[in-house]
Amino acid sequence: MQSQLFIKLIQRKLSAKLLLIVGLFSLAAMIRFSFDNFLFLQSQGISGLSVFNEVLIPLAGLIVLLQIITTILHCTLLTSGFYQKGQGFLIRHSASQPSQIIGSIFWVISRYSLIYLGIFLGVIFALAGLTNFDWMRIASLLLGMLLAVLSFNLAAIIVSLRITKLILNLVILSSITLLLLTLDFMLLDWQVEHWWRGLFLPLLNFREGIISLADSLHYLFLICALFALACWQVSFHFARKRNLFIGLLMLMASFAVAQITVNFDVTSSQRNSLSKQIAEQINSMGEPLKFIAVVNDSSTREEIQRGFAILQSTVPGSELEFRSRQSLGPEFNHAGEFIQLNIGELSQSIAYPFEQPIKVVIESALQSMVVRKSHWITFVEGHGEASPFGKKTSDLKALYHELKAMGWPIALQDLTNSEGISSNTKLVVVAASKFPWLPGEDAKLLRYLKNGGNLLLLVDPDSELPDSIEKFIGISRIPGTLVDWNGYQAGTPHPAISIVQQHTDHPVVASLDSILAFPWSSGLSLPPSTEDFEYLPIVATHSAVWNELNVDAEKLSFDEDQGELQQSFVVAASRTNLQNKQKIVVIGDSHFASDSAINNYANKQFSLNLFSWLADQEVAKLANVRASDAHIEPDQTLHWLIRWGYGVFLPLIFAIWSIYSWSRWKRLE
Amino acid sequence: MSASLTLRQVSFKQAKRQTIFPTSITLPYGTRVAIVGLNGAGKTTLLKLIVGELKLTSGKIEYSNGRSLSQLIGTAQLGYQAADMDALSELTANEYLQLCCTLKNYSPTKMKHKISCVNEQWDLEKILGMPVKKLSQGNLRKLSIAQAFLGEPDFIILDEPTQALDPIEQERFITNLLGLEHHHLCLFSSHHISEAVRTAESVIMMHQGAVVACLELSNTRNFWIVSQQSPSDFNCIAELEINLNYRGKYKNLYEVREPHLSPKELQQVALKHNLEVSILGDHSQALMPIFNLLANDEL
Repeated sequence: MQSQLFIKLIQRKLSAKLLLIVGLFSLAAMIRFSFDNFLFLQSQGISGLSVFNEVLIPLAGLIVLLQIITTILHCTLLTSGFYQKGQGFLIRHSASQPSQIIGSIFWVISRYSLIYLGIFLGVIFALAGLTNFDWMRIASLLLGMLLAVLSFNLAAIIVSLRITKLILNLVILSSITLLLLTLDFMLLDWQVEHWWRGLFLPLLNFREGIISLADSLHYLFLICALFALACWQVSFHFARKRNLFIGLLMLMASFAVAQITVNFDVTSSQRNSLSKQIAEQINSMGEPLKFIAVVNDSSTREEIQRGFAILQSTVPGSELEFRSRQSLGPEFNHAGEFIQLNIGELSQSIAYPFEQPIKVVIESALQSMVVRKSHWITFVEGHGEASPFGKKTSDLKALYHELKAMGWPIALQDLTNSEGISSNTKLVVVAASKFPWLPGEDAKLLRYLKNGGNLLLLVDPDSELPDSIEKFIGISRIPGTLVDWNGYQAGTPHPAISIVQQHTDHPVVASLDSILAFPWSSGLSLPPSTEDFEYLPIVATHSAVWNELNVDAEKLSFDEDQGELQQSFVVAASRTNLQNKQKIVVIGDSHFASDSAINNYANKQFSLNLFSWLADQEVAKLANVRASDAHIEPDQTLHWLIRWGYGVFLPLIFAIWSIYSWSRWKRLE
Repeated sequence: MSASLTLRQVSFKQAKRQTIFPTSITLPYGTRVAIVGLNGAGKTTLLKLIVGELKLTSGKIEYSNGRSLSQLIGTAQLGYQAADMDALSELTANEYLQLCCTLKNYSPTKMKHKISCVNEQWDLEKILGMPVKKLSQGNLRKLSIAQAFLGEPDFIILDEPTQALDPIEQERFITNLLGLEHHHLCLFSSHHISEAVRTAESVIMMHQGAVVACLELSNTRNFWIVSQQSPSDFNCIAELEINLNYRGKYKNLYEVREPHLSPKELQQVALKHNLEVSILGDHSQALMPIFNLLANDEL
């Protein structure tokens, strides 16, 4: 009854109605925008997408903001409204228990926060049928939002109970909120969150799916403290001193728990935990791990700190240091923003912004630091190959940066001038030779291969490749360029871009379930496996693809009479020497990894998986790069629901209902 | 238990607020007490101190044999109507009374009964369904008085209750107060002497933050005098108990207690001793003259 009357005191105010309408429409606009944006990015084949990151997190941010604004206004209208009208004594003289009054006010204020959370849940459930959400992470986010907003609501109630003037209350509450937010950022910047967790800071951990004991207890004690202090504010009679004592005690407890470092990574992909294997390897080195970050803005620092927290949880004793560019010595020869990991003499720099989740970036860096000491990736040059240092769109500069970020030392080697492939080479890459090899060059590579060296061979339909090498490998190209008319009709810019969805259970693609694009590729022909050699297809096209023998023709069409074949073509295959474990991969295309195509679909991930597998690294670890909710295929109903249901009709219904109920009250007036 | 109120050396000092000089009063069981005084006399400040809306600078207030204010509030035995109350414009009159009831911790059934009681007592039927914002000043004041009477608390404190009330409602106010049972203590402030005389059993007269006189209207034995003489000047009339009640700028106010002389005889004795004395009359007679002296700045 008391709550209902408090609700009426807010609900019948025009300002409260208008705020709700504006809030709901801005939320609706955000829902539409983030959903459309995700679909656009998805259609562009951008890798590393996640519905959680691209849709839910921006929505959650807006919802928290709306909840804060709503609380400020409602607290002002309710509590200061009472006092400004000389009715404050009704609360102060109440025979009800203070907890009952504060409970009612708290429920009324928080009730509106729950409207936004309800809509948020609606969006989550609408999307849940079409993508594979990490529900534990969502639960963690919701819990964090709820705890942060409830704490803020109680803090706002305490402030409002102190100030009797409406406008003054509005100004002071807004200022205090800004101050609290600033304080949170300062805690983050000064890295003193182990002293005090702040009001909104723990939300960052909850958002990532990290449920830390310190955060949970902090919120628990903080809510108890704020509730007791709010009771103390209104308790003229019942246990006033007791409430103050409990409030201060709980507040101290919320300070004390900040020291606890027990964290639980509740995400299904364990995205906030380093793999045990890497952690053990790093810990076994017995040297301190130093994390130096040269970054500018606060959001970058936040990401770095989150990454460092992941590292620190498994590698205790790690240190984080933020450095300004001016303070760097000559040993830091990296341009732009970057982080550098140091263990003893080992060092690994990673350029910022990261293109993968920070956990994967750190894991890759650590992994490569552990294993790379004598391992190089050598790109063969001298025959017009796609270069890792070139600037053309057909070059592999983006791939080079990715490999470098993984910690691989990259080298170029011209076989004409050298005696052979360097002995510290872990993997040789031949990226589509355009010109014939000089005599003797093939022998140098053959020698490397015969010694058990691994090879990645990228061959376009027009690539030159010494017969001796092709013969050694045993995998040959099928003449012609693969044409995928279905893919073209589905939206690829050219029919010669083959869309590949048929993945095998080969380790390279076992963790991939999204499509790949191979522009101007050739099909491969594999010999049967023998006792010594295992030939396995990695990916294959669908069966409507044909090998066009005249790809430059004005009109492309399948012509069986010319000997063209329409079938499923193997585009990538591997040859494993079962005796010495030598790995060779042949891809009927070099463009998929070039700068122009590497960011399309899952090409980058496929490329990195190839290198990891060929360099005897664990591919599975990198599989986390692709989020489980990376893809949605909305049907017509979902389109309608998100764009019109949540985007227009829901706020419109709320608005009409709000205006109707308000006008009814006005008519009564 | 019947209600009584004791103020022990209560004082209040705060910038921008009327100062209350140390005051000690005991209001007896089951009485109706009016506080009168000119504007700025400190009536509202004193009432706010009594209901705890302002914090005492010093002194102590006891309710019903040593009970504290917090104990009183906890049992919903305090009804208060503030002079500066504005409308909670988002509620109807009925909803407003319901809110007051919920804050007094009444159950829904009890609440209905309590509201119907004050409705009957204060004739609120016509305004109960109306938004508070739409009420006239008089009706709003009536509603705020009614909320103070909700649940018939032991202590009813009203600050200028009849302000903005029309003559009919003023009459209703007087009738309702006179109809209060003897275990209630009702303390109200007013500018109207006639209303105070008709309604109250005692009148506290205030001036510039000090209690000038506490007049028991039924007391016809004691009487009041004003004189420029200091209290020691009266030592020559040893047979009379003449108490200084208020030391004024120009004249002092004295109460003559349990006199064996009539006021006329006293004046003659005073003349004999060359003392200048003005007789104001007994408690009910002295009320208006004291008020006039204060109003004309002659005290």
